[in-house]
Amino acid sequence: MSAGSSSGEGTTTDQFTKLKLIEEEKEGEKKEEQEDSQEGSSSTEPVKYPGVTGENSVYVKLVSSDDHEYYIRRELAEKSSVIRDMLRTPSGNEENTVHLHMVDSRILRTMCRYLTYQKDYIKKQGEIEQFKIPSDDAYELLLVAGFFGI
Amino acid sequence: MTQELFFEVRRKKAHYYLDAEESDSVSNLKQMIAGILKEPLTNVELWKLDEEGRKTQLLHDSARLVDCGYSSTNAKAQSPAAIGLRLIAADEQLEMTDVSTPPPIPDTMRQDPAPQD
Repeated sequence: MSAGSSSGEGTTTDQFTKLKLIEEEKEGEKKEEQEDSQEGSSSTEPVKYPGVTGENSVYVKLVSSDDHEYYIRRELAEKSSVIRDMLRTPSGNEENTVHLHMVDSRILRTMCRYLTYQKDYIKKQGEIEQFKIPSDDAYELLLVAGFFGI
Repeated sequence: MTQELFFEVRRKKAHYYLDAEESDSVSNLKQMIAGILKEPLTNVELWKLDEEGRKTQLLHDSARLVDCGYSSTNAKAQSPAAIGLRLIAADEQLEMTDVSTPPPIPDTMRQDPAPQD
């Protein structure tokens, strides 16, 4: 895992890319909404709440070995190329669910938190809080980080 | 500059990781949950949790997150604030299953964790 140590990059470019990402995300959401309703997937109702399109675009679901479901934003999950591929290959994966049978719920929880942490601190400069890892989980987290490429 | 707060909304075996601004209201979080679960807003009930994970206080729609006591110290990205979710129509009470407990570490592995790169 890489901690947010690359904080000293150009701040203005970070801000610009962040704005762009948000705009692209909004456009992406709208497009995916239209596609999804044409495919007749679960969200056929018009979106009532702007900014959240439910399971189909913004959020994905990761399921651990003991059936704990973790809903995180798609952009965070796709930081891992392994997860991104798992999300894209199964045909008709309307629910955007990935079953991770090898991962414990506790580990998956830490992984989700780390992805959020990484995204948040990449755009911050100055002091960055270190991500705390409980030593009991350290070994398993190491394996998981290697597997998912985080 | 409003702070971004991070929440982990839990219900039974599900965890929803959400982020919102501290000036946003509780109903904003409810809308996000309602959007994910495709439940009507009126069915969504959010509870503030204490440290042991028991419910303490029902969160009202009109309250702002910062007024409910959430700040950037207790709602960080790497340790999001826990909120309990109850679907009024489906759940009798607030219930959450615990995540798994770590297996006991053999003595040979009892050393400092590997440094992060």
